[in-house]
Amino acid sequence: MDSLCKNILKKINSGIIIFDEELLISHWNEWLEQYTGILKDQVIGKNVKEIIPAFKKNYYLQLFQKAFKMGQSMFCSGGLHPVFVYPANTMEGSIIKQNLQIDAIFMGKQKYILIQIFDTTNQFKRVETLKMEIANRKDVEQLLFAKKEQFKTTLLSVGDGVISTDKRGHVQIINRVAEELTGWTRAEAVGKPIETVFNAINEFTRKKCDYSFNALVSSDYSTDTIDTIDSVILISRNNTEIMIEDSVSPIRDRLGHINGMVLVFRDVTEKKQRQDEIKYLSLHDQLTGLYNRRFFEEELKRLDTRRNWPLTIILGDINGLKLINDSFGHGMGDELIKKSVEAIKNGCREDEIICRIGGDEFIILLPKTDASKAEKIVSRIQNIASQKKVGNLNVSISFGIDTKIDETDSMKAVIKKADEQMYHHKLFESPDMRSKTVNAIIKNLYIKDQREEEHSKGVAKLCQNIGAVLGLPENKIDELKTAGLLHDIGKIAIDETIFNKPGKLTEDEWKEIIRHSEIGYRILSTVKELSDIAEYVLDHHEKWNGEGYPKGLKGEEIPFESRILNIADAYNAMISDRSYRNALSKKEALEEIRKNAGIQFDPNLVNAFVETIVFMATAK
Amino acid sequence: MLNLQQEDALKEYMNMFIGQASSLLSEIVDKKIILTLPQIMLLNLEQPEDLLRYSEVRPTLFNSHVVSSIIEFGKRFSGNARLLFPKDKAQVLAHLCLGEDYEAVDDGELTDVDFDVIREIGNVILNSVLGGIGNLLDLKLEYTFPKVQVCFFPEEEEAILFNKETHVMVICNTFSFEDTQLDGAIVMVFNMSSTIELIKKIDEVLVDIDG
Repeated sequence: MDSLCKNILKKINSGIIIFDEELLISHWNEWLEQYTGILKDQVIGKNVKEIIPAFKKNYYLQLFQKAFKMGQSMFCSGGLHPVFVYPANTMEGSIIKQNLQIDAIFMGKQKYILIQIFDTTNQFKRVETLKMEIANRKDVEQLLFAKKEQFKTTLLSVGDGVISTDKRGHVQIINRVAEELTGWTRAEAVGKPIETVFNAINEFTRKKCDYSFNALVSSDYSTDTIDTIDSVILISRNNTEIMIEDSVSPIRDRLGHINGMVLVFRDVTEKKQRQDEIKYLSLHDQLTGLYNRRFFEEELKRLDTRRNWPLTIILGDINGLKLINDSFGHGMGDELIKKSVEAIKNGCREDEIICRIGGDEFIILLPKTDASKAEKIVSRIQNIASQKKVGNLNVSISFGIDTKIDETDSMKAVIKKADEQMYHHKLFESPDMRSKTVNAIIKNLYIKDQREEEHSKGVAKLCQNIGAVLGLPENKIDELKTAGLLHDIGKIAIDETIFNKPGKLTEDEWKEIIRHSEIGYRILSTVKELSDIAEYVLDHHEKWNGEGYPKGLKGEEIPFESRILNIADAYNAMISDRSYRNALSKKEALEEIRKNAGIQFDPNLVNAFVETIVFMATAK
Repeated sequence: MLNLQQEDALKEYMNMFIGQASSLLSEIVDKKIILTLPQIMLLNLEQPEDLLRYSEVRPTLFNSHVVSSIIEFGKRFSGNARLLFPKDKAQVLAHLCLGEDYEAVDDGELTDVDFDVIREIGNVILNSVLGGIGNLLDLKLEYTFPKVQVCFFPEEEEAILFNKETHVMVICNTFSFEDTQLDGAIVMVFNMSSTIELIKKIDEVLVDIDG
């Protein structure tokens, strides 16, 4: 029996120490011999205190005493207690954990304590590793979470709308901009199919764009990001239409399978508007809204095909635009252009291509139209134009027409022919227009300043009489009279407040005033018959001593007629009231003229002028 | 089944035993651990009024998953005693005792080491309580090593409380660590004769004190 017990003790897979009340060790099993390398013979009979680790020795001793006294069984966890017996060859610092089970054995008066030692190092290590793994996993999770948050925050705060979906195409993330654009809040959108939240149609076809996940997967996308067609309109939840630009990217897993998608889009309404504006401006004339020269050239290339022959071109040119610009200012010039364009537009069919190719030039492109039809259009336009007025001037446009019938005609030649024809018409139509314009200008000038009418007529009369006194031929006298009437025509372009300003003029105002002779020249020189008079008007403020304007001519360099005009103008001015002074008497005025003979005035003419005044006085 | 005086006396004893356990635990884990007993009751669950009382003061942890260390003891004074903690708190307790950062390893499952630690805590506390009762009754108790189990208490409640041993002592206890507090309970089930003996002993003590 005893040997049986001993054999059993041998087989037990844990350390067994038995000691008595004296704490003397009576049993040390084989497992312990192997474990500690301490042989049974080395410990039997020794006090257990010698093997108990110094640390917490008292704690163990208390336990033993308690066990002897009360018969209590105790359990000591390796997690909480230091090593009880050291294994052989223990490396310093290595972790050893042992659970202890302490049993009191009472046999009659004999009391023993049995300590069973379980090595739980492996178990502990396993747990430790587990804990470390868990801790690592937690760290990684935390890192991932932080990264995820970072991405999420980035995603949510970018300036473009961002929607991402899961595998089924259901919305997972929607950022603030996307919320605003789609009209769906995050709470409402998440989990809904992307097509519901992102309702987009093609700008032109008005068909719904397929943003479903299947569409993405079924497309053969070799690249990672797909910029979809640029004409997409997003219909927001409240049915507002927003022009957008968008791109779709698949989200792939490690194996490259598509796991979801990201849709990035932005509001391009303004950009599109700007683009459209730029496109419009690049092809249109800003003033009239007609197509411009660039468009015309492109369009001509496009239309110059067999299908469009006969291709007729109408070339139009506004008459008198320069004259009006010079005399009435560019505002009125623009008005003339607009009125002309109205006439052209009204005369044409809706879909005709009308281009403004120069300041006053227009071209009408008429595909599949022959010359006779074009002539009808022209006469229609001219008819409408003749009823339109700018100020009290009729709108007048000269036209030229030519047609490309087949490939033997070059487009260049056709345009040239039309141009020639137009100029031919202009020769007849324009002078008429110009003299009408000059009349209109004079009329306007008189309306603007009534005193001017008296002055002009007075000067004309004086000129006429000087001519008579000098014995000039009849046609010269007529010319002088006309020059007198027209000499201040340039004043039409000058601000009347400067003329009527009481007191001294500033330098700028004076510069403005002296422009009137130049402007007068420009206006009058447009009318062929008045081109000589234009010269006289230009120089009528030159002085004999060379101190006049605009050229500073001297003595006989000044045209004879201008010298006459100069005296007449000065005299008439002196005997009239001016804003800055009262009228002089005729006598005083004459005296003034005499004084300035050889300074401002031609001294020879001064005598003739004095005679003229005397003659005029006696004639009355 | 105990009058107020008897209950007070029992509570006083238990406080003493538990106090020893807490100083032992403090020594083991090198941390100050204070154990207090807010509530103690000895019940005969066959008695309707005791059943009523039990249902009134039943600790909330009895509605959760618990970890229990069980010791059985025998001979004249026989029965079993178990120390119960809510499962999640048991882990906190184990980690605090091991001096580890609890948050970092919260995976909800108890490891072998956790079980060992809880076994020892149960061992220390139950030994103190049972040893104390043994001393009180002048009895040498023989008992087993604690077994540690995890169970959902309501499922086991009937098997634990309503068996052949009709008397139940329920001790609610609170562990206070540095800044953590957790509730546990000790449930001792023993037979009629043991109960009578215990009450007799308490009465003797009371007579001694009161004269």
